[in-house]
Amino acid sequence: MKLFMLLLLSVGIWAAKIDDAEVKIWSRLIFDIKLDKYRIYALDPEIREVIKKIKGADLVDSCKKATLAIESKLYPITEKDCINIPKISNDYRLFLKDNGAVGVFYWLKSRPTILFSKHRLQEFGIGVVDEMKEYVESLP
Amino acid sequence: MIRPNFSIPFFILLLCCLFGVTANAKESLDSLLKEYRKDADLSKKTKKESAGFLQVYTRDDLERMQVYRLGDILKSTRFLQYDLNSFGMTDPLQMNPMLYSSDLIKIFVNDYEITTGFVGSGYAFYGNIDMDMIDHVEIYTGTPVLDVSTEPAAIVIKLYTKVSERENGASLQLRGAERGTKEGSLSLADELGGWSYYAYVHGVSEKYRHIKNGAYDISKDYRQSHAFLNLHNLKHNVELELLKQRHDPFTGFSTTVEPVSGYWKSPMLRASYSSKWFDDSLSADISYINSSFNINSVTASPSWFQLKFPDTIRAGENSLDYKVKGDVLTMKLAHNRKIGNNQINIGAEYRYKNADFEYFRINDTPIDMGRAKFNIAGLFLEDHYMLTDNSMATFSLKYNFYDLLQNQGGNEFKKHLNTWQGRVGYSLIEDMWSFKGFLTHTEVPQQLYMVLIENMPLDRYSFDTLSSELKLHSSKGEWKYLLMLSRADSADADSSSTFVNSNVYIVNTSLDYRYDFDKFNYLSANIFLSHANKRYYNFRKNYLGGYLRLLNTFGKTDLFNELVFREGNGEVKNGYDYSAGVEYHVTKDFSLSLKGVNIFDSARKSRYTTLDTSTNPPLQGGINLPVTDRRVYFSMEWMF
Repeated sequence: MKLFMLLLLSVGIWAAKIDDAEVKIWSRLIFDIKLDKYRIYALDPEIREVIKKIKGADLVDSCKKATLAIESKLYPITEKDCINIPKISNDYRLFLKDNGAVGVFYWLKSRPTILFSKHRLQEFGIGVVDEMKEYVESLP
Repeated sequence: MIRPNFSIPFFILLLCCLFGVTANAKESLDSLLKEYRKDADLSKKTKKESAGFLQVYTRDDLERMQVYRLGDILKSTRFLQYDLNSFGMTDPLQMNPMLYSSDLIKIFVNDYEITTGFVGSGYAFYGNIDMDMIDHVEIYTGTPVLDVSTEPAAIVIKLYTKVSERENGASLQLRGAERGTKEGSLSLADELGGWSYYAYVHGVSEKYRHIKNGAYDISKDYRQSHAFLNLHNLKHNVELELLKQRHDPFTGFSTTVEPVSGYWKSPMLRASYSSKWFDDSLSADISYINSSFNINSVTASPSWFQLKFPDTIRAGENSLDYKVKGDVLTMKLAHNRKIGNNQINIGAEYRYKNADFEYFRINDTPIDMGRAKFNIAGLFLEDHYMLTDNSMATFSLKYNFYDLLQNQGGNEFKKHLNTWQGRVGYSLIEDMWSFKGFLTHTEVPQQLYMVLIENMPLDRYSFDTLSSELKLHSSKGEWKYLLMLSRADSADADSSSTFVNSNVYIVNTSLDYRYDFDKFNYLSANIFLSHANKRYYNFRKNYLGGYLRLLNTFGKTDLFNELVFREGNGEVKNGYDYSAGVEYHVTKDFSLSLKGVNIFDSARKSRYTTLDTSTNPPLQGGINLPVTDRRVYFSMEWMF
């Protein structure tokens, strides 16, 4: 019913629908980082919905239990508990400001883009799979 | 007759057809990102399915079709054709020799209406606007009402600009075409102190083939400068826009289509602001537009205006020179609320608009055309009521109060008018098909130019429309069938109303088909028929049109083919406008493109009425002129 309302009311049906491609991209972003376990912490409701659709990734309620955090412009993750785990951001400016963010999935020049910081990955002692290495750059 | 022309784009098109359409990217991260770019198109956040019958051109469509002007897509829009009035202003419903006939087509940028006090729609000067700053386009037909448009509309065109959050960088586009056409645009998107901004500047000098009518040169050449700034944060949105144009006079409004010299200019300045509160349930908009029309025309015969002032007609050259200025201020407050199964949208609008002739001279003799202003107050209420999980009823009502103050010859006149718009609708969605139907009643007031120039009384005409759309879809594509039955009556001033005769019955029907070969290759087609029970002005009783469009992507190359058909009548031949383009993405940030428009030079022409006033009685005739020219564009885009 909610979906139908959205279709016919003020926004299009897809505004609330999570696209397959988006789930696949987040899935790649998460699993292409070499971690022992994939326990994800996120505050952004839309991102939480995406994580729920990713098989093998567990959505957790605090950074204490998490191995990776995902933050967004509207929902940055600033808890002290999260300092020790790597983050992925979906906002480039947030990524630049937050030294705990190892990667970013954002829009640049009208295209969705992925970027990882080599330096920050090294600080957390983690790596990425081979196919993702072309997206790793020597950023501070 | 269609003349084969083996131009470069034509060869590119042939190659494209030979390639087939089976390219299928493997699921690499790169192809996933491309797929996501299509899936996350911004139109999915802005379109309003309940507002009418919708056609959407996404960012991906606009880029692959190499849409440089709004006219590039409007020429294939169902029930319409790209057309120009006698001065060369965009006027798809033109009823030559009427000055302007497309008041019912409203145009918006980011939900702010582009309009003028004078002609009631900004379409006259914005109908062929540059598109480098546009992200996507939504076209609503079927008398969209209420929150979509302040004043009554038959068609609403919504342009949405690129947004800072998605651009995050700069873009330079340069373009050239034959006869020395030059065009360039530069945009910049970034964030500053918590505000995101998108800034855009554009300039063009467009030169078309000149048509000779005897010794007289008919030209549509123009120069345009355009600047736009959007500034927003989570709560506030601010926009500034400046547009300057200088056009050659086209036919110059000459009764014999014999322009000697002249120009028309229509500068526009817009400032708009909107804000939302309480989880976006309360919104407020305010928008101000200052614009003017400045027309200077010397013709070898009297202008059509002069038929209203026979004393001004003289042998030989005649001149027309006028400037009309106008302001439009629009304010809107709307509240959205969900109560049980009802989604209620309630609001109030106020619009002030005026038209003020700074001067109006025929053969250097001043004529007092006066000035007029409208105060328009509106109230609207809309309820979407969920009947079941997959069906919904819609009830809409809008009331507008028009207060006209006219000043002519030192005398002031005050007039009032009430208009109503209403709609009931029903929508049903099933897994493989959907249906929506509306019954609408619309009342349309005269615009200020009709009051001032045509000397019409303030009155309204109304039309009622029963419309429905059935959509069948599958994983590979969809069929859409649209049927609209309309009845329009005339204003009391029968002879000068939009419809010459009262009670015109019109049937509009359209069939759309789209087949997706895969995510990046599709074929779409449309065929429509309009039928009126009687002929009015130069509209025929039956009008048939359609298009066939193929969009392909092979690796780094995008290909575009389109054939637009528009039926002629006894005086104008059928038109076949065939366009094709290729864009090669040299790198992610640099691309080169080639595009041919109306490659066979066989697009439908328009007929312009002529009147030989030297005979008694005057002899009426006409001349056919091309409105869509054969063009080849070469472009580059660099993003940095």
